Amino acid sequence: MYGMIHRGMRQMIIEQSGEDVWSRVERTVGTGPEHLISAQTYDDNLTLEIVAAAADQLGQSVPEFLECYGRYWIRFAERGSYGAMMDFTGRDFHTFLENLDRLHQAVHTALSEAITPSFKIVDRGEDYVRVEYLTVREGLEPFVLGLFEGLLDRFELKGSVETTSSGSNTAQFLIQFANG
Amino acid sequence: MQLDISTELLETLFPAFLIVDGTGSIRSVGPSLNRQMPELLPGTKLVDHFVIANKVDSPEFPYWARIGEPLQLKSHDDRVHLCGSMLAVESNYLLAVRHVPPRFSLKTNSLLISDFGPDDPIVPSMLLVGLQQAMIEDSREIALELGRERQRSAEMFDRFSRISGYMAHDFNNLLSIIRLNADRISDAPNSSSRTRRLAQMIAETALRGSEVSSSLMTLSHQRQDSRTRLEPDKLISDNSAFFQTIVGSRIRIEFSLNATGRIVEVSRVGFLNSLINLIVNAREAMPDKGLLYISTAWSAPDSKLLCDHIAIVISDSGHGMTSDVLAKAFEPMYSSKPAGNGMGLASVFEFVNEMGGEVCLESELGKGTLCRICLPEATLPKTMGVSQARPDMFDEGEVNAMPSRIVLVEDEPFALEALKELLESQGHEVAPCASAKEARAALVAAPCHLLLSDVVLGYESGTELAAEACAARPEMQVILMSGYVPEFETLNENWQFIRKPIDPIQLCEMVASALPICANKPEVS
Repeated sequence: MYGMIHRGMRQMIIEQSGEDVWSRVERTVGTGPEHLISAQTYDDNLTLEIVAAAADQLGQSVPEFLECYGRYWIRFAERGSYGAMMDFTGRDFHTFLENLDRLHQAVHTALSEAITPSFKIVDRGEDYVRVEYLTVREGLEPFVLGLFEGLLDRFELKGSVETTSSGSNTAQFLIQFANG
Repeated sequence: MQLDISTELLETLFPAFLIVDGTGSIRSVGPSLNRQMPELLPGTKLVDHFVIANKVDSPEFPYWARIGEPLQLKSHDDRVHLCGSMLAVESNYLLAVRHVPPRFSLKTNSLLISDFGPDDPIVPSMLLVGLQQAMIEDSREIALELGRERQRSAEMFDRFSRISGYMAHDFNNLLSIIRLNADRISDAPNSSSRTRRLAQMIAETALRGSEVSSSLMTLSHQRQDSRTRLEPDKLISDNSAFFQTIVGSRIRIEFSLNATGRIVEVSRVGFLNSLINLIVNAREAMPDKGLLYISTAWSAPDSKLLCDHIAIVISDSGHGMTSDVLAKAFEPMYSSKPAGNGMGLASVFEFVNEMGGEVCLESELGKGTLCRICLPEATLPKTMGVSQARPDMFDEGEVNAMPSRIVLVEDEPFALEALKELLESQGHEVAPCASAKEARAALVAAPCHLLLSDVVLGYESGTELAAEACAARPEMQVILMSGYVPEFETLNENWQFIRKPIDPIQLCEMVASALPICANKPEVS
C-alpha cells in the first residue's frame, strides 16, 4: 500500500495517544521514517503488521482499529494536501460516492501500482443508500465501513452504516441517514 | 436523421449546455451552468452573459457562429470558459459546450467532477494535476521530517559516542593501574617465578581488556574521526537544491558565497545539520513568503574569533524574536514554537562550540533574524605527536636519557604511585602531583625538564596545565596521558601523547626521547 496510508495511521495515533505509542508501534514492526513516504509503495504485509501493532498498542481488535482509522482517514485526507481533490470529487454525500471511481481512476493513472477499490450505488431512497464495494484486497470491510462514517462526518450528516453482505472481494453497505 | 435526446441524458452528457432561441435569448441551462452562474435566467440574452471568443461573421443567425463549428464562450467576469459546438434543434439552438477550466489548480477552482460529462478528459487531467500538487507538498513535509530524523539520529549517536568515550576513558584508567602495578610486582627484586608468571597473566589480561576499550574508543571516535576538511562554500552550493526543497517555493533563497577555497575542519554531519536547523527555523518564521539569505566570507581574527575564520551567515525576513526569546534561543529544550522540541538551536550552539567556533544570533521582532556561525579556518593538518621510539637509542629496558626532574600529574593514586616508581627506577627525579594545583606548585618550586600529565584531572584539564607550563617555560617537554583522545586543537604540535593503558616500556621510550641525552642539555631556568 502507499506510504500515505502509513502516514495517516501515524497521525491518528499521535493525535489520539501520543508520540510514545507511535514509537512503540515502530519499534515493534521495525519501521522508520523511510516507511512514511506518501508516494512510495510498500508491501501489503508491512501495512498489515503496522495495523496489528497499532491495534495492540491501543487495546483494540484489528477490525475495531480499521474502522476507527477509516473514519479518521477522511479527516486526514481532507485537511491535508488532498483536500482539494476531495472537494472536486463532490460536495455532498451522494455526489462524492458517485464520483469516487473517477477519483480512483486518476490515482491509478498517476500511481500505476495503486490498487484501488470500486464503489457503486446500487440502490437509494430518501433516507438511505446502498453501496456495493469491489476490491482485490480482502479483510478491509471494517476500514470501508469507517470511511463511510467519515464521509457522514465530512458532510455533517447523522446516520449509521452497516455491512449487509460480505463475500470474497465484495461487500454491500447500507448507509441510513437519520432525520433531523 | 432525427435524434431524440431526453433532457436527463443531455444534462448528463453536457452538464454545461445552453439552449438559445432565434433571438439569442436563453431558453434552458444545464445543471452545471445553473450552479456556476445562477444569473443565467431564461429570457436573458446570451451575449449579456458571455463573450464569444471566436466570433465569426455569418449571414445566418446567430451571425457570430456557424452551426457545427467550434464555439468558445467566456463569461464577462472571466470565471467560466466554455467550448463546444452549436447545433440547430427545431427552432432553437443547442450549445453543446463543456467547461474549460481557466486554471488547472484544484485549489483555485470552483468546478466539480459533476460539472463535466462522464468521459470528459478534463476530469482525469485536473485530478492528476491535483494529485501532483498534493504529492509535491507531501514531499516537502517528508523532506523536513527526514532531515529532522537525521538530526535526531546524529544527536543520539553523538550522545552514545560521548558515553562510550567516557566509559573507555575510565576503563583505560583502571587497566593502566592494573598493568603498571602488575609490572611492579613482576619487577620486585625477590619475586618468585610463580609471582612473576601471575603478574604477567594479570598484565596480559589487562592488555586484552584494552582491546575492549579500544572498541569503545572507536565508537567514541566516530564523531572525532568524522571531522573532515571541507569547504563550506562547496558544501552549501552542493546542497542548495535540497535547501530550496526544505523552504518550499514561497520562500526565495539567495546565496552569496565568498569563501571559495577556504577550508574548515569540522564534522560534516554536524555542519550540515546545523545549516538545516537554521533553515528550518527561518522557514517557520516565514509562513507566507519571504527571503532567506545565505552568505559566507573569510575573516581575519576579530572580536568574534581570535583566529582566521570563515563566517557563515543565515538571515531571514521572518517575524523575528523578542528580546526575551532571543536571550534563551540557544537553551536546550527551550522553544518559542508550540510544536518545537527546543533542540534545534541548542544543537547548533553545541556543534559550533565543539568545533572551536562562535555562533551568535541577532533578531528584532518584525525584522527577521540573522545567525552568524564563525568556524576556525583549517591550516595544516594536526598531528597527534605520538612518539616513535628512536630505533638506534637503546635495547629493551635500557634508557639513555640523562636523569631529569619530571613533574608527574595523575589524579588516580595507584597509577601515580606506580608511575613514580617506574620513572624513579630509570633514575629520574619525580615530583608526584595528584592535581593540577599541586603540579603548578611543583613547577614553580624547582626546575623541571618534563611535564608528564594525565589529560583529565578531575574538573581540570591537563592540556591547559601543559599550555600554562609551556608559556612559562617554552623549553619544557610535555607528554600527555589519557584513556580518551583529546581534541586536536588543544594539542601543541611539540607535545607527545600516550594512550592508556600505559605500556611501561613505551612510556620509558617516550620519556627518553623527550629528554636530551647529550651532555649539553640546556639548563632549565
